[in-house]
Amino acid sequence: MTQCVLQLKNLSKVFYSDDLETHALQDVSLQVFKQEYIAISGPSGSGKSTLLSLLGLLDTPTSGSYQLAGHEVSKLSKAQRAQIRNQQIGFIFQSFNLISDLDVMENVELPLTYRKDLTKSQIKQMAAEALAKVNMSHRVNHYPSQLSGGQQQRVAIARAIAGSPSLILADEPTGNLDSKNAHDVLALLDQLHGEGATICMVTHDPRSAQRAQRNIEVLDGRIISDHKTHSAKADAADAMSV
Amino acid sequence: MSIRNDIKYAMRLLAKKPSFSALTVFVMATGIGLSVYLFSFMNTMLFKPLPFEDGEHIIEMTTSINGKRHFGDFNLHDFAQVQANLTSASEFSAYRNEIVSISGRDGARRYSATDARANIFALTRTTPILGRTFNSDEDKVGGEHVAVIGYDLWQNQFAGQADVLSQNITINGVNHRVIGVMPEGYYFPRRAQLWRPLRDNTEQVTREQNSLVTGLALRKPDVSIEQIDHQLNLIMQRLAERYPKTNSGLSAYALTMHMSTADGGMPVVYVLHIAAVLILVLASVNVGNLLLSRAVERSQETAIRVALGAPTGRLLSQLLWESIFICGLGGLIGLLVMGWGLEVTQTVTNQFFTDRPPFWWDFGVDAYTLKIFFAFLVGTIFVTGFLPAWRNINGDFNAVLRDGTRGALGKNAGKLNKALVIGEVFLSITILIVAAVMITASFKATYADYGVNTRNKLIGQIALPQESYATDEQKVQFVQALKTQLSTQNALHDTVVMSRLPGFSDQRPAIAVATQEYSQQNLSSYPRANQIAVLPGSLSNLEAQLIEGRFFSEADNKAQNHTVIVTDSFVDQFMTTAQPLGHKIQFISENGTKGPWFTIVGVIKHIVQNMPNRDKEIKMPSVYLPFAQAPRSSMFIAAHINSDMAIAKAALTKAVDDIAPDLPIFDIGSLDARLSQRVAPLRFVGGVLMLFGLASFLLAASGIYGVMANTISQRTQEIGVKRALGASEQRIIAEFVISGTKQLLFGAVPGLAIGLTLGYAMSAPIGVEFMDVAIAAVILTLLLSAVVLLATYLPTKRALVNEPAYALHSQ
Ligand SMILES: Nc1ncnc2c1ncn2[C@@H]1O[C@H](COP(=O)(O)OP(=O)(O)OP(=O)(O)O)[C@@H](O)[C@H]1O
Ligand SMILES: [Mg+2]
Repeated sequence: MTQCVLQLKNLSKVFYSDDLETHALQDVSLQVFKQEYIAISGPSGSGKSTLLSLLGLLDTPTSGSYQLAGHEVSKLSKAQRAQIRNQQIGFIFQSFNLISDLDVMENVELPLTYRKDLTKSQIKQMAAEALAKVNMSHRVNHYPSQLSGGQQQRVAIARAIAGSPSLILADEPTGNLDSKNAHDVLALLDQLHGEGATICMVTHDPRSAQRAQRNIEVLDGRIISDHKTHSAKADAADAMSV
Repeated sequence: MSIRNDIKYAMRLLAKKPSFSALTVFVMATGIGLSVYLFSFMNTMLFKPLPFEDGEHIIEMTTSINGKRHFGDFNLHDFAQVQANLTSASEFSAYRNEIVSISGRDGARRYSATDARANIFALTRTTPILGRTFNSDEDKVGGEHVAVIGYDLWQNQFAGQADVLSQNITINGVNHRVIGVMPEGYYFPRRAQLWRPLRDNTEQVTREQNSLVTGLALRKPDVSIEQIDHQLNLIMQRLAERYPKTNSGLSAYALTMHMSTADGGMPVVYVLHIAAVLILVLASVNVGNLLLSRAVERSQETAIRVALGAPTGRLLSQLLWESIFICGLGGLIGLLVMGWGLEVTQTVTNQFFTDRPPFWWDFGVDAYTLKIFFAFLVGTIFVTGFLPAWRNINGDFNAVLRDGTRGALGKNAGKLNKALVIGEVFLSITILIVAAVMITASFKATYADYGVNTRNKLIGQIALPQESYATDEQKVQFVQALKTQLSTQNALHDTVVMSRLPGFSDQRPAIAVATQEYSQQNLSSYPRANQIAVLPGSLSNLEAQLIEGRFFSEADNKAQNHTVIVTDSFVDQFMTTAQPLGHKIQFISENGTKGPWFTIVGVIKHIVQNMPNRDKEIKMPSVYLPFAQAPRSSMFIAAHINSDMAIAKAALTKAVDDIAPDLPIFDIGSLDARLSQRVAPLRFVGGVLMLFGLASFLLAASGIYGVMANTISQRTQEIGVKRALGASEQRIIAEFVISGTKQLLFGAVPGLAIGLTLGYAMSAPIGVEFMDVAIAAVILTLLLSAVVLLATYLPTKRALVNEPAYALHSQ
């Protein structure tokens, strides 16, 4: 049996704004296994981003339990959660979220500088490797505003993977890109998956979802379907043939 | 048409956020009000031309010794040489002031008289409202006793009668014929209430008789005061070569009437001007930043407008109208409050003087004030309008649009925010140091230790008229009688009679100490000290501290005795021996004549016989001698009171009245009140600066907080991203605090450098030690550091309250 990376049990998230209660997630239970590639889809406002935020420890659930790598997340301190985000999780956002004051190299180095176990030269080397992987080595001294959207997203991916996280969370990573750039980004995710990363990606696009092994569909804060895709079967076949 | 739309748009923006608009208007009112006030105040006090035709050219000439400007008088003969040789001025005149008593129906009253050359009225282009002024026959030894009276005197002494010209007036016991009445408000040269001719000239008075005058003239329009000073120096140098004994080291200089009132405090005045400009800049920067932060909020809107083809001019015009409204309204409020402040100033400054302030101290909103006001207004509109306009027009619209993030800071805007904080720190620290120096000075002067006990003392002043107390014997007799009379009054104890009380300086003759060598045998090579005549018992009654020797006894109080008491400061500064008792000193008169030797019988702890703030850097030493050995016509009476003030006052008046009914005792009051009044100007400026300091601190604190809070809220998303990438809260806080500290340092270091320089320039003239300035600077820096750190910490902490998901959501 493959190792369970994270496990949600009856997770709920309620937003309180003014006198309005929004039940963004209701009683969500989910298990994600090591090296899985999951696509999460659903209509706008259904709770996909909220789910991803909770998975990424960017927010806390209103109720329910969340175990990450066997640890109950609600029992972790803020500092511990920051450390997990830093070393075990890589984020990719729809709007890239590069820091405009920092150049490409500095952006990629940023999460590594939060770690205490790395020397300067190690950081440099890891960042350079990540940039090479996304084919952005030729732009290390550019600032985000000097890059195209596709280039920005590739830098953002380099930043997410620089510390070799085991879990990559991507919220509509191709939402702001044209089909050519979107294809490149998806290919990159495929490659990362191939190298052993667990990936959860929110997407609107059914064709992107098809690349994942498992599709989860969300509606009104609930998971309404959760099934393996063809590519999962193909992967399995691949694995058999090796 | 389009302008009207812009105005409407700007008004709508302001109306939409009333509290924001009110805040900016308030800040602007504070800045403009305070700075215009200070400029107007100092202009009236120091720079405004006298209210006469050619008033801007009137100069006063006095002498200096060894380069030290001390407002000394000229020997009549020296001034005649100046008059003959100084080509850069014309219409020379001369005067000296005297306090006189005038007897009337209800006893004697005291008035300020000016004895002047006949042309003093012509110099000010003023004619009398009744009668005439002097002719040259009256301005001679032996001329008829005539007087021109001022409007106040006419009203008080003659009830404004039209036939005053046929009447006589008794001045110091001598009958004078009234020949003219000057218009209301005429007090030239400063606060004269009546004028008499000088009645001496170089043909009638010898150089050795040493008749003293202050010089007046009109500066020729195309020459500067410096050029006049240069000429004066040359003239005085030639005199010094001709009369080395009396004149070496003696020079002269010219000043406007105002400047002579400023009395060496000009560095302070210039520093205050700088502070006034700085506070205006501070206010403008604050308002500019508030508008800027709003412009940033609107930057996406602006970007869209630009993308839609709005011309730059239109965008600028809208921003500018906003500034015009805020500055205009704020300025107007500031002007009104300031006008009221000037009225208060008039009332307050009137109390600085026992009689009246110089006549040109007429505070109010005048043409100059309005000119400065409009200049400042235009400046602030430019600064406040420029900041946001620069941000918006120079911004990379494309980046704003592409980013789509509302608050995304462009690299330049981030730099600008940092520059703003640095600027605020710099400006406020500079102003605060200046304010602190001034406040320290006023505090020190108010609570100065004069070296004696000044509490519960009733004082009064007497000026014996030359006419009825011509000889030394008469003066000594009067004082003896006074002493006896005072001792009969039960309400008065421990009577003191001194030519000058502590806090007041006396005549300062040159002094030689026996057996000590002096480089040259001329006046300027000898030290000078206060020469103070005291009745025996006065020093001990004031609780002066005897260090060695003894106080005076009745036996000392004889003309043929020659005994003195000196202060330890005298010993320290002028004597080479450590055992001063028994040593002899000698006074040297202005014409170089050496007097008899006096034996030092006592040394007392230094007594401040000077304005306390002028006695800090170098203590002014004093020599005390028994009244009979140096009789004076002007003296202070002081007595300890332990009962009711009114009873004591009555007793004092009665004592003097009993021996000399025609002699007014004037300026009766408590010694502490009088001493405090003397430093009132310093206290007043201290108070104004306190207001300045407070305003600048509040402006800076709110401004820094505003910029920081803005910067941080604009970076909420960035904070969210960093946290998503695993930055801990401490890490984020540390980042902001470090950047805040950097800005603090970049502002504080130059601010300290300039503030300390200005503080140093001010410290000597107002009697503050540089150490005090440095301590104040350290405290203020710590205070501002706390402000900066809080201003970074609080908004950062607030940005961290929510989970990072919210920050990412804020895009
Ligand atoms: N911070 C918040 N405060 C209040 N309501 C929120 C907040 N964040 C999300 N919501 C609400 O929660 C619900 C789920 O939002 P979420 O962002 O997860 O949707 P989504 O599936 O990602 O939609 P989209 O496809 O448009 O991105 C929505 O109704 C949204 O309005
Ligand atoms: Mg979403």
